[in-house]
Amino acid sequence: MQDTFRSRGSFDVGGKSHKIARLTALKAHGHDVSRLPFALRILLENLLRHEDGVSVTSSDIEAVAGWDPSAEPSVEIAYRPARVLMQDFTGVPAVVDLAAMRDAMQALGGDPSRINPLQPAELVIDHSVQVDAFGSPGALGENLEREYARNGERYAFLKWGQGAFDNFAVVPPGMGICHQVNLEFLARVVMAGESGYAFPDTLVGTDSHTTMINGLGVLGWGVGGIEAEAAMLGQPVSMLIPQVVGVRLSGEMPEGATATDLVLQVTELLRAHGVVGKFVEFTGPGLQHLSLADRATIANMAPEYGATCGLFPVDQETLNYLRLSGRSEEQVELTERYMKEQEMFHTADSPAADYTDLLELDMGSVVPSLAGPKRPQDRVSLADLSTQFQGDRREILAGAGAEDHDHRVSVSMDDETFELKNGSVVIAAITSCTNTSNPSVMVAAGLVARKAALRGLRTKPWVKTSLAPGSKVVTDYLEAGGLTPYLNALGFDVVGFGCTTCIGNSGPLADEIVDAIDAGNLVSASVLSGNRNFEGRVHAKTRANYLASPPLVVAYALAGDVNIDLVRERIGVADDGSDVYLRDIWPTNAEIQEIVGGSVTREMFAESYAGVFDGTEAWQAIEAAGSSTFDWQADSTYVRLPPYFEGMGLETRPVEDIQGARVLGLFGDNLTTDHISPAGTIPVDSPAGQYLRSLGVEKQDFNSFGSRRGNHEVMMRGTFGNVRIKNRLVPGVEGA
Amino acid sequence: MTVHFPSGKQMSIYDAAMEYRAEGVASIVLGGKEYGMGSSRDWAAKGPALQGVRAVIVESFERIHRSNLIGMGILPLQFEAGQGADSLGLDGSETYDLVGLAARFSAEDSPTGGTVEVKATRTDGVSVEFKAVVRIDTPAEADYFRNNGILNYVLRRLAR
Ligand code: SF4
Repeated sequence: MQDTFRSRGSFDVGGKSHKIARLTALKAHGHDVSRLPFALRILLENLLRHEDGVSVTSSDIEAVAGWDPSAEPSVEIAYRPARVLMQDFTGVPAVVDLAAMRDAMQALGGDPSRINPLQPAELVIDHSVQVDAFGSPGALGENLEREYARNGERYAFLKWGQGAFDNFAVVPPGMGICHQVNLEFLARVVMAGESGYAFPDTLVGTDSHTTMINGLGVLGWGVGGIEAEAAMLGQPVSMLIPQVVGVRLSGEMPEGATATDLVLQVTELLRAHGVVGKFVEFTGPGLQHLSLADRATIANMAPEYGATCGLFPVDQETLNYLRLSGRSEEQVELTERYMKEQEMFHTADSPAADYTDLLELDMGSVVPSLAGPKRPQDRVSLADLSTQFQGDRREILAGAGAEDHDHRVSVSMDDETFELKNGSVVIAAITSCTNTSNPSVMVAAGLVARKAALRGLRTKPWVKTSLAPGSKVVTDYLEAGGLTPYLNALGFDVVGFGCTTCIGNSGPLADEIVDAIDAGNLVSASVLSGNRNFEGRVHAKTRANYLASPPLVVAYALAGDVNIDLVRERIGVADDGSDVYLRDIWPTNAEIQEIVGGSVTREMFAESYAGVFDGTEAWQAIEAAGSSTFDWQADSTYVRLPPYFEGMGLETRPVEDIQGARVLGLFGDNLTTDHISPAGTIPVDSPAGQYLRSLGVEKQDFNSFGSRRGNHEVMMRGTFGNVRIKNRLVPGVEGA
Repeated sequence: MTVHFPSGKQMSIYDAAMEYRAEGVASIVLGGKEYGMGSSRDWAAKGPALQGVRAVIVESFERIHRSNLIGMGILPLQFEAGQGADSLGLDGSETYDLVGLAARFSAEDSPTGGTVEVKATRTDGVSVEFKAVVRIDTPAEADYFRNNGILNYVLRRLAR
């Protein structure tokens, strides 16, 4: 280790001494670090602490310290994130690789148990639960049961991993969503490692919305599996020193607007400006009016606005949230002291940092909004949706080569008869860590439900309603606030603690509904509190998908139709025959804050997370061998030993010239990774489909390439297998 | 779909890859600009590695995909500026010799950058020779490549 800038020192907190790599030391070398965005200061600390003259050199450090806001990124640095976060889709193959390394270690005569993540690695099983049952008290249990039946092989493997690896923890199914669990529990903000150093918590995750944690002042973003594995094993992530765009927030959110509305506005603003490949950082007087959960919602959607991440610096609100969410007093104190030592604790008087560009956003201008029908940046205010849908509908039909129409299809279902048409809302889902991590919008949804139910309003019978929180804390505070019975009365029973509709696991619609949509070629709609709505993501049968806040999801479940103008027309008729408007059942900010303040408690977090790694009974019932290597099952179609290390010796073999090679494919410009390795459907007659069928897997059980990444046999057969790939060796032919 | 050479038979890319592997023939991939763009997906490097792809020659790489290729032991090569398969008259039916790799990587220090000589021989025996830039940009990447991938590199270090 080197210390060119003499930055190494120590500081004491709570009677303990910690080493520190001080940014302020760079002042003596002519670098005014206080003008750097907070995000870059975190990178700078990372380099200072890891200066070794090889992967991190003094000139790398000077390149960050002397950052030129307007320079095109060109300097590559080796960054070492402190930990790794995974979900089960991407995490299974990563753990498969680690398990394969253990086998290889044994073959090399070494001790397999030496293969472990060197940095803390945490995996949350959240992506697999589907909404099969809904609108009933038993939905949660039923869906969980089916989830286990479908994913038994993968879960048994992960359970083995949970016991076998050090530094690796698994949050079992049914406990929460990775980014919310990270926010509420896993994130350390400031870490004190074995090295004796205290340093900012940083991470990479194998999921694009890893960015949510930047709301808590923790730098993090999503990466591919190999990079995450390398990071776990102590190898640096290589990256370019980025440009950083500042967003100066001012004003306060007006009555009736939510954090969801704000993030849709931010997304619209930043997409228009262009922040792809850049960092975003939030700053300005508005920060003090923004709760931590609101910040997390905004940070979550960085992939939608196109940025690598959107950081909120650590400030008093961060500390308050750490306390509320049950982090130890010692942890909070360490965070505060460390950040102050580094002059990285944001206050109203913090000097303004330099940014590549500085954009302004007055939060006072935020209005209730949705975004869609297929891009998160296409925001439309609530007042305009019914009008805009007419255009959206025409465009969607035209795009499918169909004439515009006003078909009505009558449906009889469960003793009720109703009509479906273009704009009928068939899915209303309170879903996604983007919003379920935010008590204000969840309580707002509960309050809309309460006011509606008390007036006798009901959700429309054609709407598939669901509530899928990202942690148990949510159900606890909804219960404590007295809101659960009303949500249940409207069909928003809990269907699972996981991604559900947000990742497209919306589950089937009733056959009657599907038949009607097909018969009328209807453009049916979904309204969900998620972050993505590209075609096919939410459900194959909903061609218009609108992102909106949880209270608006409830509102559209009541209306059942996006043609209704919820600002000017009634949303329903009360028991007493009077018209009810959305404004009659919309809570005030004071009402929301009263319940949030009274119901969301530190004890809830402490209790919910005390047993988070233990999981439900079903998890505990999985038998996992305590062996240090995995007992690969010869008949598994999900988890197989990959051959990367076959025949590998301790010494590298000399690199050989390549002679007489043949061209497997000749491709044009812009070949994407999805062309090379598709994530979606496994075509029946493709090599991968044939392989699965040869093992007796039926077509309906093929699942997707994404869910079979733990089986290299499937994946290598699917390589260059995208149905749209164009290989110039076979002109005019599309597909693998 | 692709064409297997020299048989000239059309088959899936996977089947062709398996034929080449069975015949002990190395395979390579040719591409254009921004090869590997889109979301960072490691199977886009793992898959070709398992199919037996040894090198990818393209006009330019997306940054993360290039590093993933090295992470799986595949050599990323880039046509010299202004050149490409079209301008060199390559149609994919040639056999390719990449000379100078062995010498380059036999040295103890980790070579980065530079070029290799590529000789593409057509079925009529005429060959096209060109230089390709080796896109192994850092010493760490050279170590990963020499070890046939980043996981193998880490494994060897831990096994010692
Ligand atoms: S809820 Fe949605 S955004 Fe959150 S992790 Fe799951 S899929 Fe990603």
